[in-house]
Amino acid sequence: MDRLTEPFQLTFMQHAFAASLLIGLTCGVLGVYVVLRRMAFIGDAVSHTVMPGLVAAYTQGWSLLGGALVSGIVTALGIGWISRRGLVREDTAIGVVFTGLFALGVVMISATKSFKDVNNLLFGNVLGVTPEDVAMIAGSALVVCAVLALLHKELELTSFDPIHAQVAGLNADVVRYVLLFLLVLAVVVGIQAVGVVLLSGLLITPAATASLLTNRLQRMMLLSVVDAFVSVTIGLYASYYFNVSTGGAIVLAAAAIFVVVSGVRAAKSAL
Amino acid sequence: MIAGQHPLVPIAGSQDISAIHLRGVTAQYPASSAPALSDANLTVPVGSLVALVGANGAGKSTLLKAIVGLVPLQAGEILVHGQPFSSQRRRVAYLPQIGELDWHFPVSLHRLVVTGRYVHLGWLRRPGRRDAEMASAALARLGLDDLMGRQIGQLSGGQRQRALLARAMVQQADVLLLDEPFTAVDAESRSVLIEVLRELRRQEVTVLVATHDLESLSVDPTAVVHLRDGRIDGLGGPPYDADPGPVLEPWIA
Repeated sequence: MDRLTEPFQLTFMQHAFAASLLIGLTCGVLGVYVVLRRMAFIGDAVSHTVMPGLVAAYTQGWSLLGGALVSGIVTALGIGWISRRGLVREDTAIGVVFTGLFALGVVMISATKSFKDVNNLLFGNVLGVTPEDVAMIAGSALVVCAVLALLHKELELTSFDPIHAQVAGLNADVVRYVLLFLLVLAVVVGIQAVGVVLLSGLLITPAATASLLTNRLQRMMLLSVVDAFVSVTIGLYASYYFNVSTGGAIVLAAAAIFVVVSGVRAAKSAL
Repeated sequence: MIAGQHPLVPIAGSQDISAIHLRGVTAQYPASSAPALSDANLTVPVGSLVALVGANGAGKSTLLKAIVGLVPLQAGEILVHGQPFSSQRRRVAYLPQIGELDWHFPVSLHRLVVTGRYVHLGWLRRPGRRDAEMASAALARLGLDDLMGRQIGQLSGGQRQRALLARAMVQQADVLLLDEPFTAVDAESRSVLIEVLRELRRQEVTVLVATHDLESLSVDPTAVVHLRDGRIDGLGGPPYDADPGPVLEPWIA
């Protein structure tokens, strides 16, 4: 029992735990839409394209959230603009914007000298969050959950029948941009826990696991959040006791749960 | 006066204004290089049932989509009850081909039918008890009340078509646009669909139905509009003869 409570005697672990749960909530609940709307690739793209904004904010001492939000919104609008003109398909447009902005981030990083900062961006550093970070993460979680609750009807309909939404006067593009904005928020907070590289693991894997277990939307969100909570908790303990990367352990835990659940499902349907 | 711009001959009991009016409509999908519908002229009186027939790609679906603003117009105008569609949304129910929905999405049949009320609710307002009751009643009318809680992906093709018609009914529209409603439909679903269509006609609901198979309609249409290569190619009154008659006054440019 002591081994379970021991880490939480430390203030930085308390902060890390609070931050991780809030991040799990944000990514778990939003991830369900990302999975159901087949936006996994977009989620991955957004997490990479916020890089230049984050690097600029990091080196200039600006707000990380602000930097990432600006580059995330530029990405979302850029993808929308390029694919709307029909010049190239959307996945191609995303590929171009995605790698272009990530490359800019890499070039900007290489111009700075601090490898530790680079490592934090790429792989997260939830053990280093400050109380201010926790407040920012809580604010983002609140915004994401509030908007999802407020626009539940619109998000649900545009996800499975955007044509009907359009005809009924509920503009599916508006809903899409709102969702992209929430995605940027989730990415920015998620990066603190698992970093740019592993972000889609935290966003997509718990939701994918939940989608194997139920075909009710609300229940799927609940299960996804529970899965994310379990994963971040395992990740924190693993990094505390075995001194391994927190972000890596979190995503590994989520992936392991997914493998077990899909194995059980496959076995059940084979019987 | 341009040839063909003679006033509509109203049928007994209907209003003076036509339910749907297309004038010189050319419509083109954004990613396409050629119009999918060219210079279409059509006047549909209130309470009539018009069948749109033609091969795949003839422009039947495009004509329906153009009416509800899903395809941008290059030329011409479309009026619903004498007004632009954007002011008439509540009165027009559009049933897409069933392949255009994501049936794997985790939503129940009842919830799907409730979405027919959204045009009345607008942004942010949530459906209430009355909306839920209307959905239940429509599902009962279409013989789907046993399946209310089912995830929509578990429904058969015929049940999906019935579900979409139930959704259109809760909208309480007086113009109904149906895109291939008899595709993948079993005998039971077909007879329920036809029964409800007949009932809607008795209520003076204007119906436009796109079908590649006129036989399957089983309800005598007021008129049949033939489309070919994106153009209105000809029309017939009942039972599909070449004479438009006084009921329908489309113009063929």
